[in-house]
Amino acid sequence: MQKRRFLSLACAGPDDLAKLALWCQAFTPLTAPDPPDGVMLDITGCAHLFGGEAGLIARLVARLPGARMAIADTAAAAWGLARYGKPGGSDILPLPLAALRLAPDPIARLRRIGVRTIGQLARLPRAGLVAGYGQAPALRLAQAVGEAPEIIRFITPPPEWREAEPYMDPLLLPAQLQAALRRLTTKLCARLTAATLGATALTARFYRVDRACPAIHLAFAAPCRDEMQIAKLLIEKLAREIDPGFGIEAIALEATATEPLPLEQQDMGAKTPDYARPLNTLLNRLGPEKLWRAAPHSSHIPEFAVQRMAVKARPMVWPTPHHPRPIRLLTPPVPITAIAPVPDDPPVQFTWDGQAHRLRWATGPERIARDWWAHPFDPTRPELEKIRDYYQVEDMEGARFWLFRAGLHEGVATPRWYLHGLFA
Amino acid sequence: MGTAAHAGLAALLLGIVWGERPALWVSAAPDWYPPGLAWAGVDPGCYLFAQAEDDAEALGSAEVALHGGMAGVVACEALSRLAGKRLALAAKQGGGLGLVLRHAPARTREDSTAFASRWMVHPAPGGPHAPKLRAELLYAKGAMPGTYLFALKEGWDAEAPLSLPGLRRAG
Repeated sequence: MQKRRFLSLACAGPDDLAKLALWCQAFTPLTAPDPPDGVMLDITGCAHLFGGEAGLIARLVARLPGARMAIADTAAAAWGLARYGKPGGSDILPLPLAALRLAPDPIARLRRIGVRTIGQLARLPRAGLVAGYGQAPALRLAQAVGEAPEIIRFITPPPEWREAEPYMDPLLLPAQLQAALRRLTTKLCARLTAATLGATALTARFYRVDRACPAIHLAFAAPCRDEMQIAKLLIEKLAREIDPGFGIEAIALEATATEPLPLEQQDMGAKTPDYARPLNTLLNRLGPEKLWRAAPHSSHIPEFAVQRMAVKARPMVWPTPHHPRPIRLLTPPVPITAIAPVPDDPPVQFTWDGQAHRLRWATGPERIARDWWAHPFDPTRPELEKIRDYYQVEDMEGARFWLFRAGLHEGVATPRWYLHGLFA
Repeated sequence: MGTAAHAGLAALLLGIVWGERPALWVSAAPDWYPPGLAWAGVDPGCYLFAQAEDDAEALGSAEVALHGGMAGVVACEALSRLAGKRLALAAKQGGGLGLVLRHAPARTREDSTAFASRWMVHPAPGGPHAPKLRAELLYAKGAMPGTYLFALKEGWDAEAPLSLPGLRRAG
C-alpha cells in the first residue's frame, strides 16, 4: 500500500470552509473542512497530476494567497507544520506543543515541567504521560507520528464513477467547456458500459480559479449511459447555469447514483418501444418537480385526492370514482354569486367572471366534510358548518360545471358559492 | 377559458387511439384533474403531467415527447406556424400522437395546415352521467368536414372519422 500523504491548508481570512473543501476537490477527491480555519486534503496518489508535491503547493499558493500549507505523512503532522512550521520544513519535533492541537490546560502543565516542544514530549515515558496528563497528549503525539489512526470526515466518500480533468490553462470559452464535457462523458459512459450500469443521477462540477465551484445536476427517470444524450443535456444546462468567471481549471463528472442497465443488441428486428429517452430529456429540461405522475390519494377532499409521484415510480391503477369528478379542477376554487330559490337547493343561475349562466339542471348534493380530526378545535364556528355541498350543473349551452356551497344556512357565517371544476 | 370540452375530447381520443402507452400532458397552467379523467373513462395512470414556464416551453416539451414516441397533449394560447410544423414533424418521426388544445376562434385561413386534422369542440347538452361534446371537424386531410357528437364515458360517434392519417388506432 502506498504511503498516505496529507496536505493541511490554513486560511487567514474567515472563509466558508465547506465551500472551500468542495473547491479543493479539484485536486483530490478526499477533502474535509478542518475547523476553525482550514481544510485537510488527502493527496495520496494525486500530487503527480500537478507536477509533484511542490507543483501542487505552488498551484494552491497561486490560488489562495496568504494561506499556509504543509504536506506530511499524517494529518496531525500536516496540521502542525502548516500552522507552526517553517515553510518547506518537514520535521515536527522542534514544533511547540500547540502544534499537536492540545487544549491550553495540558500545555501549561507540561510547560511547568519544562516540556515545550514535541521532541521533548516524545522523549517522556508514555505510561507516565497518560497517568499524569490524561489521554490527550499521548494520543495526539501517536497520531502525529503515525502510530494511532485518526478519523477524518471527508465531505464525500471516494466516488466510484468519477472522471476528472485538470487543465494547465484555465478554460473560458463555451466551445472548450463543451468539448471537455463531451470527453468526460465518453470516458464515463465507456466505464459504465463495461460495468453494465446506467447513471440515474449525474453531477458535473466546475472548479473555478477564484475558489467557486458551480455544478450541473442531472437526474434520470430511467438508468442512462447514452453519451450523446448526457452530453447534450449537460451542454444545454452549461450555457444557462454555469458562469466560467475568470476560468475553469478542472472539471469532474460524477455518476452519484447508478443502477444496472443490461447491454442491448443493436439493430436486430423490431424493438420494443423505449420511452426512457424522452422522459430523461423532459425531466432535466423541466426539473424534477415540474414533471410528475398522478397517483390516487385516499382523501375525500378533491384537492387532496391526487398525489404527485416521481416519474420513476410505477404507474398506478386508478379506480373509477363513484361520484362525478371534473376534468379540469380550478385551484383555488373561484368565488361566484349563485341564485338558489330555496335554501339548500341547487342554484338556478350563477355568475362567473361577469357572465351569467342559466342552468338547465343540477344533480347533487354530494356532501364533503372536512377531516376534522386533523384540525384543532375552533370554538367560534361549529364543525358542522365547514362542509361543502357539491353540485354538477349544466347551463343552457351544455357547459357543465362543478359548484359547491360552503357552509349551511342559518349558521354563524352565511354560505358562499364557489366554482371548483369544469366537466365539459 | 370556461370549458373543458377540448380536454375531454383529447382524453377520449387518447383512450380510443393511444391506449395504455405513455402520454405527456403539458401546459403552462396544468389544471387537468386525474380523478376526473378516471371518471371520464380513461386511465390517468399512464399519463405524465408537466408544468412549463410558458407556451414555448410547453410546445418544446411536447415536441420532445412526440419525438420519443409518446403521445403529447399540450394546451397553449398562441401557436405559430413554425411551432405547428415542428410538432407535426416530431409526431411523424417518432410515430406519436400529438394533440394541441387551444381556446381560439376558428380561423381556418390563418391556421397552419401542418396538422392532420383540426376540430372545434363545444360542450353539448346531455344527461347527468355522461357529458357530451359536439366536435366539428374544420379541417382534415382526406376526410369530409362534419359535426360529430361524442359522449364521455359512453363511447364515440361511430360516424366520426377516427381513421384519419394522424389518428392510428391502438392494437
